[in-house]
Amino acid sequence: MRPLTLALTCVLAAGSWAERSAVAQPADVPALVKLVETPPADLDKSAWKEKRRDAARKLAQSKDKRAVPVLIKLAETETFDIIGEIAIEGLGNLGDPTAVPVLQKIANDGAREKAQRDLARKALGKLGASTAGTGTTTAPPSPITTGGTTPNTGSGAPSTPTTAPGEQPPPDVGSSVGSALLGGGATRSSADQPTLPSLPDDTLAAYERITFALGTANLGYDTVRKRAAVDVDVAGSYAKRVEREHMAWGWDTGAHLVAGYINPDGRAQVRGAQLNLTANSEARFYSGKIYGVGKAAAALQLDYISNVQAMDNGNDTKDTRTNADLQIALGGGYGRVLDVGAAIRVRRLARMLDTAKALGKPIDPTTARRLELTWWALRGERSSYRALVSTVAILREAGILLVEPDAGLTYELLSVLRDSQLFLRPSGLDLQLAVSEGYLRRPSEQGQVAPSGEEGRVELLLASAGYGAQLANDTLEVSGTGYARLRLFAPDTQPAPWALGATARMRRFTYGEHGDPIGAFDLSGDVRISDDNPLNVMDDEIGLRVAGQLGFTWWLNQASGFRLAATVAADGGQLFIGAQLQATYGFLDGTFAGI
Amino acid sequence: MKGLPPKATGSLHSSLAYASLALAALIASACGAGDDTVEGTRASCAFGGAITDCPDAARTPEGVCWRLVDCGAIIVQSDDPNRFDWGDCVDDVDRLTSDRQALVMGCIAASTCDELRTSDLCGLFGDQ
Repeated sequence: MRPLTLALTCVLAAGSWAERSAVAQPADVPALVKLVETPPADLDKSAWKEKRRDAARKLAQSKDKRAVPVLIKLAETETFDIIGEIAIEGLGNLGDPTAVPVLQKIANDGAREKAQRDLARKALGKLGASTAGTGTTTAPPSPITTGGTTPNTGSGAPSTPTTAPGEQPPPDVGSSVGSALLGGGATRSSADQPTLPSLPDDTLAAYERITFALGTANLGYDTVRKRAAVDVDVAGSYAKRVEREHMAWGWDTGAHLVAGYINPDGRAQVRGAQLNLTANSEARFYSGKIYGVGKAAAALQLDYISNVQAMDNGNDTKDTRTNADLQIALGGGYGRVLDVGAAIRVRRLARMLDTAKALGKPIDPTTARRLELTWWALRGERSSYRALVSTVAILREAGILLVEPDAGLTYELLSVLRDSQLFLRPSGLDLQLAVSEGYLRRPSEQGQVAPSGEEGRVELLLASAGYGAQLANDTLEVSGTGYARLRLFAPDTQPAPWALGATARMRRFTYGEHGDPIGAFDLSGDVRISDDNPLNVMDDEIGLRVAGQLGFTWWLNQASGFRLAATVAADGGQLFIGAQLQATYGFLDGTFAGI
Repeated sequence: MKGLPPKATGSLHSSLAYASLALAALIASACGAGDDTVEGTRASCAFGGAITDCPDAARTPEGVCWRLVDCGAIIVQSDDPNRFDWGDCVDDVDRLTSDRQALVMGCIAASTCDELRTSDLCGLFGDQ
């Protein structure tokens, strides 16, 4: 190992010399430091961030000791911007041993991105120091290293491991923080911390959803009736949205395939397929709470059906058709509605730690961001192990979690991390008005209007509203949506339908003493009015539907629960009443094996 | 980096929600009985193409038949036995063999409203 290390050091040293040789001009270090620390009045935030990164690069190449403190501060605090990596790399280039403790801390910080930890190790190599806390360098602690220190006031806090000179340090010692609770030790918990998704600094909220739904897929052959049947119903969708202070954008795309083949004994046979492809996008530009919005939507539906009758009476059917939509909309609005489920999870975490007397200080926005992005990065994991270990490590690192969690606290942490009632939790108010222009391709005979009543250019006036509030310590949600649409400039031969509607919903979430979700009570109401008369253009009947639903879901234990729901709907005076009760009760299996 | 979104407080929001629900109930009680044919109220996605969106229909006979009403493909109720209404739809879907029922419900749930109004593709899946 030693010759390899020596060779690596030589290579790094050669690289360092080459980089230093490339710096020909002396840098104005005080001006660069000022630019890094204070945004100039004549620059907006995004321009300053670019200039700031350039300044950090110049400081990293300056060979000036005055650059060291500011780079140390950047390396410690800028965990989500590339400037942090510039600073880490620069500290290695500057060759100042005061940077060693900070670089060691970063190299061993399991909550940091792997790229940053690797850069810190590389920089330590340039400084001739190991990644362990008490390495071969006897540099004094930096006066600036105060931002990310861990006040290990609790029992069982991780201590900095010591490594003998020349000995290989344990990997990712810092990520062992929080692993003691599971008895895993450094070796198990150090396994690859997640790479966090990259989001701009001013992101208010973001989501990414990938859904594959295999509704049904059946293949069967009935030997009694000599009947073969195949049916497939599969769908997939992807959606992403980012809400920033001055802009928001989002898009989604989806595909849905329904196909079937039924071949009974004899002549009869049905085979068909329907493929739907959709894509939608939206961009908003904000000035305060007012925004301008642009939207686009496209859809393609391909149909094929072949129906052969049992008797050859000329009624066999074969049809292939294509529908296509391409639409854009422009408009404006006020406010926005965000999904704050991840923020509620952070708040639940803080409340739980506070109750357990384990909260050292409030969870600051930077730590909340790290937690939420870590959960995002680990959303595909079947197990909650890494989410738990990473969460504890981040909280310990930030000095928020005062103690190493015991069994009780660990259970409550897991309850929060696994709480499935924290998805799609809206907050805010959004009002929008837009005008849409589009082209709809609908199958029709030559020169005829499509029987659907709309074809070709279609202009619409669209309005929408959304509202959400999370109340009573996030256990009560009140939300609502509204819509209105009116077709504009319709030809005389086509209808100009309009419709409007609103939905209001209230949900109450309940939890047990140790944070277990117990159930949710929901109450919703829906009102719709429309004048679409698609079946008879001359008719002018206005439709009114009012519906309400009351439901309660109660989880008794992991194997038992109740869902009681009642629905009432009135459409044009006709009343529809439905009630549903689902109940399961049981205990988890009790088993024993006397081996 | 922004802090956590501020928590909404106060009881005004809940009062508004309760008021909305009460209004909905009032309108419901004010609905008189219609004549012998009730066309039904259309959903936001019934017209206007892909930019007016609707959530997926529930994969139950009642759910997919409500989608047909929402889209204007069938009427809610008619005393005329020759007119196909919501009740006929539920009965028909209920009577299908399980393989055909799955196909019909998947097809209706996936189709656009224009498609449901103009084509009997989904019905052909159930033609026995």
